[in-house]
Amino acid sequence: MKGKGSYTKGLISRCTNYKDSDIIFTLLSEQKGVQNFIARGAKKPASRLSGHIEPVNFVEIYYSSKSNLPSVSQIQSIDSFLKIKSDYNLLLQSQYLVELSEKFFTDISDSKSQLEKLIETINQLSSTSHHKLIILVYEYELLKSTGFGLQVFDCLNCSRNLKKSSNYFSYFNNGFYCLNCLKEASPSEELIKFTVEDQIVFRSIERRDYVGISKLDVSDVLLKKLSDCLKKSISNILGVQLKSSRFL
Amino acid sequence: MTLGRSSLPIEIQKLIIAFSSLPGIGPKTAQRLTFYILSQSVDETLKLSEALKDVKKNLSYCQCCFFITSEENINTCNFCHEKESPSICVVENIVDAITIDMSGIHSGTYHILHGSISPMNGIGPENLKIDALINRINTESPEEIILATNPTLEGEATSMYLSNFIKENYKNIKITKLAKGLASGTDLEFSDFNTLSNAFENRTDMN
Repeated sequence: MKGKGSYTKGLISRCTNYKDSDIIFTLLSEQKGVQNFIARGAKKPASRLSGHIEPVNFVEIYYSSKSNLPSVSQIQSIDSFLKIKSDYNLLLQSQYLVELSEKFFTDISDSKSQLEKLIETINQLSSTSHHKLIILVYEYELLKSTGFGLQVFDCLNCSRNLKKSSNYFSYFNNGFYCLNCLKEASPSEELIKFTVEDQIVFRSIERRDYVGISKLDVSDVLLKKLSDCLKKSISNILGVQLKSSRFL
Repeated sequence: MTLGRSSLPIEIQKLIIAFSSLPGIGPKTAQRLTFYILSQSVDETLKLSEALKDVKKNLSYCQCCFFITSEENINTCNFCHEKESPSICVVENIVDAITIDMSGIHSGTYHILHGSISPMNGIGPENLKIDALINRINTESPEEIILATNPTLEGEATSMYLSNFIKENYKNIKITKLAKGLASGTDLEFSDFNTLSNAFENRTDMN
């Protein structure tokens, strides 16, 4: 706290122009999850705020919360992710991560650790070539931390450990059915067959074992399969498809 | 008993809703505008409605540069057909084209994309006038494409997409982008890292 104002850190997820020179922006803040702010006069050429207010910018802000829409008095960039923003594909991927986080942040009580994970993931995008895998791990982690974690070790129906054989994934119920319980699945459920090798990758993602994953030599086909499963699970949970997901 | 908005005549409610759909106008301003219209003479109000109707009915976009033009001049827009230049300046919207044109800096033609790539809003390259730009490049064979998109994340994404595409498919076309950096009248002390880094990257030789 400084004077009568408040202070927070966060990642800007989206900006909207308001009136002639104001900007309303959404912040994934470390204290209160998704928060909206207004930066008055930010579009004026001499404004000290404008350069910092951009989506996918990690910032610290001072604001006054006298009205429903807190007004920003000072803003300072901590990380602008310039490397991400200078590459078209990385930019699209980071936008997807931000949109995904925005949808789940409201349900997260501990938004600080989730924000740290998001920033770490965005940084990892620029430092490795396994972009799709990094996104998969983040999606997986996010689902887990919001209580929608996938059941990849036990059967959804009998709760017994999955045997070392092909099993069937249901994105409707976020987990696997063993071969014996396959008939218990609802006829409307779309089931996707996973071989033993496919499941090993899934489990490595669950364990967040980057070293293990990099040794696995995951094919593009399997990556797409895993990615589709997670995206369908996410759409099923949210009830909508993320707009930025089609650009990946 | 209080008089709620639902007890107002349906015509007034409809006008309030119509005004509130405009950018920057909330329900309160919409209500104020509606009652102002109501206090005006019939002639004045009809003038406004005629003007609104004409704008939508008589105007269209030029099929070459996508600037506004009258329905009859859809293929011979004055904005692009009176100019002869080997360069095309690509802008996000009509206001940007007018601003650059009024400054007199660019004497060539323009191409208006009518938006920018914004993944979070579901806007991709296929939603912009990029196909038309490619057609123009094929037919006009310009020497230079000037990317004058806004220095925002969406504007940068658009210019990155365009420059990647043009570089890959048209080796002989020079692609340039508007400079980014310190604005006139600002202090270094208050510049953000992003602006400073751009200013350093695009510094000019003084020798």
